[in-house]
Amino acid sequence: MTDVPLIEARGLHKTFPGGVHAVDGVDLRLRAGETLGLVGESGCGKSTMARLLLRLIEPDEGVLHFRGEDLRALGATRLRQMRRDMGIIFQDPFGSLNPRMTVSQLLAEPLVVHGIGNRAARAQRVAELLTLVGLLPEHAARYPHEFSGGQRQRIAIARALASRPALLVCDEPTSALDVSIQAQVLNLLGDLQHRLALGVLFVSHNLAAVRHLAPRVAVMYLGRVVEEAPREAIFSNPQHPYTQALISAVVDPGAPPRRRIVLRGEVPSPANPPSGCGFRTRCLRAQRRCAEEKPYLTEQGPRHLAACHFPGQYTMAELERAGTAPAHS
Amino acid sequence: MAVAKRVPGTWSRLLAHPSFRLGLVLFALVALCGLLAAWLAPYDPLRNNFRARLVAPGEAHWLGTDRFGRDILSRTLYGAQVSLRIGLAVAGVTALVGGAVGALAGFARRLDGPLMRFMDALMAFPAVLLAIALAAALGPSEVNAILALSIAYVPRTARVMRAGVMVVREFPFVEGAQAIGASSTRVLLRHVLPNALAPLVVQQTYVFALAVLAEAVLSFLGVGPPPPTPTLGGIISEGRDYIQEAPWISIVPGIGIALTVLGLNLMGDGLRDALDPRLRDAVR
Repeated sequence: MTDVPLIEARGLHKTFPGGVHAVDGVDLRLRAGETLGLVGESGCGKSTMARLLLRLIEPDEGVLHFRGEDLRALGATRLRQMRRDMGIIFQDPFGSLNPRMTVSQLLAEPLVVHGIGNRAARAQRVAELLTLVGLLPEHAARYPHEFSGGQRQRIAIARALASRPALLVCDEPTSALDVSIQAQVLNLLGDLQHRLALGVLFVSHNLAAVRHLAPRVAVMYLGRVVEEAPREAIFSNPQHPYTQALISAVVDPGAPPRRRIVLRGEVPSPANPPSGCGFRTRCLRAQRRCAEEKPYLTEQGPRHLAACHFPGQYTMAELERAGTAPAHS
Repeated sequence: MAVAKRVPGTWSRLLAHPSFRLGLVLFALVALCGLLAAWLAPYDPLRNNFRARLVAPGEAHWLGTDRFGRDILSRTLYGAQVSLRIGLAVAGVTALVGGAVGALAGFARRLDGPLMRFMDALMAFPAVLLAIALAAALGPSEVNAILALSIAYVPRTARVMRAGVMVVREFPFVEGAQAIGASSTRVLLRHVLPNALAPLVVQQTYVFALAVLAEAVLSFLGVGPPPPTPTLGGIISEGRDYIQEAPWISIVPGIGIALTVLGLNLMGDGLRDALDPRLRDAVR
């Protein structure tokens, strides 16, 4: 039981019509009660990855296991039953709640769908859930439009947790919220993750949020995971050049000022990715080998994986030479 | 209790809308005339009176009589009743059938092609011509008129419903409903349809108006409810031969049709504005 991961993906692929390789061979493992942060810039495929894991989008290729059960082999009915154990929170709390349902209908729906409890038990659970996310049981009769963005996201969290799932996928849960509200929602998520021993996949482009919540972090670039390591290692000793650029952009008031690595150019189109390493067009260290051979995740340290032919921190000399920017573009 | 909270929102917005108010007054006027025809009508609409043929509007007959001496006011009141009944039935039937077809076509991609191609085939004929042909084939009766008009107008409703469903299908809360394990049926009925009904409601006010108009055409051509049943179109048709000597025969029911259609269209415009999803958030 203990060594069966909550969710495990191997070699997951998804190509959208038009040849967009949104997710291009991703491996992910999440144990019960563990939190994994998935970061990357817009369009790197992290939201697609979140949906693939729950089979809200059908993967084209790859292995997908939930508690050892092959999710991709499940029929529609069984898959729906399995969803009782998975919850998802979406980015936009204004669009993710049906405007025609009251809060109590929204929160009770997962229970109704899975036939949990009778009417009275469900009403009690709704009140319990509202308290859990810091709202009041009196709010149950209201409609989503009567709430603020942060409160709606709390409702969305309560809805995702209603059926007591073991896995919670958070797809950019704070990026549509005001900064002052983001912290509240992050604290709530952190609190819930401990109290309910949830397995959480926290997808975000907000590194500070990921650092706050996730002891283990995976970095995605152009549909692939380029680095995966414990939080401390990612933030203090990133091995992949892309991760280094990403980390260097985080404003950290406590730390000594450091050199910002400014990436030149745009992310290549996922419809026509570069040969070999996807990052080579923007990398300071790109060599011939990077164009010829795709790098795979290899061990760089304890539980520290990076997909790079020339891993390791940029040296001062490299950065000087590049004027903190890639030498060639 | 909770539901009551949002209805006044929509209603107060509707009632504040000038053209909706005017439309409501006009339509209510016609509808009340039709509903209360039995009490309002001074004469039996079917009784002939050969001593009062083609009497001009005056004291005995406010709006005159036709060639059989039947009271035009009474016939128009009863005619409005029949016409509105047919219009309402057509709006209802097309809402149910067109709504179901459109919802399935918009929600289930596999059904979209076959269902909508069939609707396109129906739509290839001008609606009124199709209704005339169908009514003629079925034979003149009120039920057949409803059937013919419903078939003629169902594609429009289906299209509107399909478009609405296709828009709502992409909303994040639909994916959210799938994510909690809701069945497709539940997703469609609980999440997609309730949010896609607004355009249908608007469309049906227009279908209602079109059906009243088309029913008048059917009756005018003699394929509507058979005489002596008074219908607005039928009365106009009966007055055709006397348009020089007794123009009131045709003018009065004509005004009735105009008021009905105008009222319904104005209400439709008001509904469209009040239910416009782009305005919903602005109002909040």
